[in-house]
Amino acid sequence: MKKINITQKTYFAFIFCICGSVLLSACTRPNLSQFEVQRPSRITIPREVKKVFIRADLVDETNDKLGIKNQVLQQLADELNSFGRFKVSVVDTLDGSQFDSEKESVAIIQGEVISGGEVDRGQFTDLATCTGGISGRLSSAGAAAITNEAITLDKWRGYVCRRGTFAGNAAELVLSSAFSLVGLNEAIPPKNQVVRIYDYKNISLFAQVNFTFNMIGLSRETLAIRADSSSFGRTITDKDSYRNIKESHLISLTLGSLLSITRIPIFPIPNRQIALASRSNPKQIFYGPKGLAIPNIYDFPPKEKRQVIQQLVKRALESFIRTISPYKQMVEAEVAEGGKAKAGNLLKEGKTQKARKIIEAIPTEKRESQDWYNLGLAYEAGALSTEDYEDARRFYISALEKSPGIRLYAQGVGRIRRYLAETKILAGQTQK
Amino acid sequence: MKLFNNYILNKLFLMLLISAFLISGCAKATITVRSPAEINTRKIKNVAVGGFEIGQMMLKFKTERNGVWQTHPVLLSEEQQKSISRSVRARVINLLTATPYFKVIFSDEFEKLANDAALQQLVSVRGYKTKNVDAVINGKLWLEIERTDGVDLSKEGLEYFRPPRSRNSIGLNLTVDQVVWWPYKSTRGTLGLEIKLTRLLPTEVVATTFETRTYSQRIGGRNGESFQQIADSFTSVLSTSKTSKTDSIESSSDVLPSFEQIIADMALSIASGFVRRVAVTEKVVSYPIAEGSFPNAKILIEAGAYDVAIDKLQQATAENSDPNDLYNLGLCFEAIGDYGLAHTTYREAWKADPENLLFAQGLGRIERLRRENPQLQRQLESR
Repeated sequence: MKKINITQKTYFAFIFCICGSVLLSACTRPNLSQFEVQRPSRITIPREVKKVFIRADLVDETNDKLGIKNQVLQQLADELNSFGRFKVSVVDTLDGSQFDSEKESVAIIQGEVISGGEVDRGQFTDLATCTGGISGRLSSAGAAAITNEAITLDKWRGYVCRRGTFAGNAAELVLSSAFSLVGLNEAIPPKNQVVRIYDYKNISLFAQVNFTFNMIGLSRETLAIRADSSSFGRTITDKDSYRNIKESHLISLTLGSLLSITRIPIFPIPNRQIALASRSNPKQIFYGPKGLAIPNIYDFPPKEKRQVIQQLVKRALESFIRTISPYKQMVEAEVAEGGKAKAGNLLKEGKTQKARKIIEAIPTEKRESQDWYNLGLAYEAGALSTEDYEDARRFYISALEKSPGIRLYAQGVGRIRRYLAETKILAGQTQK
Repeated sequence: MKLFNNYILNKLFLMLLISAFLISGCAKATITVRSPAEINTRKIKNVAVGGFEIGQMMLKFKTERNGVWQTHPVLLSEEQQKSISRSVRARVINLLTATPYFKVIFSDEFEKLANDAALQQLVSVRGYKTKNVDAVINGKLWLEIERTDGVDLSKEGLEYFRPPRSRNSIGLNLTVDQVVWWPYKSTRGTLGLEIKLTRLLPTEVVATTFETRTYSQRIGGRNGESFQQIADSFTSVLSTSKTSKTDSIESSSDVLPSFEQIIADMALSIASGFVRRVAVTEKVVSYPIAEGSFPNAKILIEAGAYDVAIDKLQQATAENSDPNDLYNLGLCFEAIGDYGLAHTTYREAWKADPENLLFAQGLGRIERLRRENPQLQRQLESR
């Protein structure tokens, strides 16, 4: 049996090692280098279309309850201008002075901006377990603090009440073990379940853009229509609003002593008056004939609201922009540590040209696989032409040939394959 | 004996853990494949999207306290109803434009038609001006969404436990039944959407679909009873390019979505079903990679570097035809869409090891694709 015990311990240790290594591998952040790549748009807009006018007068705002239309249009113009394919401006109207319809084709964007928000208030009920004893109170309060749970104290002996989550229960177990190690423990702490009520407030915001992209000039044609939306949601629970409304110890006070003497367990206590948690029934009705209010400055600080709306607009516009314009995207790739050149840090700092020079100064036969990979990364990060991508691909393959089986190097080859396929489309869409 | 049982249990647990670990780490190739349309839509290349008529639209708030229900309808103006209809139409267009199959013609002429009868009339008298349109998609929608503020009632057993204070004491453990009210909020939405594809010449309804989607979500209520479900999966059959990492927007499963968001999600779900019926669609699938003798094949295929993998695997199999390498080579050919070579290579691998299920599956997949392919080719060639 002793042998089995030892084997068991070994197994447990092994299991913990596996779990630990899985967690570690999942949590360790690799060394990443960021660089920008250009991606083609989903549809190809004729090259002659260079000017785009966003017609504010043709963008409907009837359902724009948050009043974000101007922000949406300006953000759309700014983002499209930043990608360089079009020269975009927001206009109130379009007349002959802005372009010559017989000589050039331009595009206009029109559509609709829909936005809204809600503040949804209410009261919920929960069941909580209160723990007594010194270590019980301390570990329960500690676990609640760690997991940011709301606690209440029961009115009888100040037991600490918390609802309990998996993380919270685990934390409580760890804390009570720690207390028992320092000798601060009872055999089993007393427990008392309670019914609690609490108030909450849910805030949500919503933005939707329905845009069409029309080419006008010698002919008129709608080239794209899209509808995209984004939403924000936050639930706010007021910790101070938690109240115990029914505690089971109340029963024990009246009948507990009697039961202790008679030693007869009685389940359940057949007293309907006592058994009614009437305060858990909310008196207030939260959905009235006027619906729900839009969040105001008391629900949402104006600065934060602005930031959230900016995010919502950005997200809602993303697909429309990617449909009509080539766009830039940040890509993250892992840097190889080591090698003769030790250029990893330079790449992480974005100094691709310097990294390239240092690695290229090393004779090819002396370069290690990390050097070849980092050289590929330097070419990829600073790529200006298809040839740069071809070179990067070649270097990644060299790295893989030098150190077969390294996934990182293979990922480089795969990534370049996708870019090269897209580059052909991109070339057809841009003047370069 | 108990210890021995524990030992066996631990061993089983360990085996399960290792298996789970190995399965999760199993290498797979991600491939984009095209599926033919379910119905014949050959010779329909240019499609215009007409208007989406409103059958019925009902949004309401409901409350319940002590068994008394109250309903507060949300009154929608005509413009708001039209806006919802336009949003649903635009979601259908989002999906149609993502297929490699149709060219969507955005013509005001068809969009302005109020209903199906107007479209039929326009088509029957051939009064339409947009001549490069082969077919028109139009639809009709029925929508009902309600938000409820209600209260559940349940009997709960509250426990009280007091440990024994001395050897002579038995302690106390009571369960007290309590009637507890559990307030909740919920939302439930149903969208019925009829979508019709009408060929203009000769005039015929090529495809029609009527589908409903129901969305429901509930917050609060009795502990652990919250649920969130959408009747049908929203997973699109259309391939989508990988989105870049963007700033994530805060969201919470405890916040009910707005009416607009529910409508958008349900419309997208129904539209994806319709597009699958009438258009060639693309989907991304994952197939297992074999453990071959060529060391880099697995990671190259996993990374999507098919061209280099083909190059290396062809060299490797010319020298030593390991069936696993042949299978991986077939997988690369399948990934780049060269089904002829994929079939030949899978067949070679299977001949070398006829018992291998993986090789047989590869072969079966290609044969299925080849059976579907004439239809797929006809559909693509008719573009």
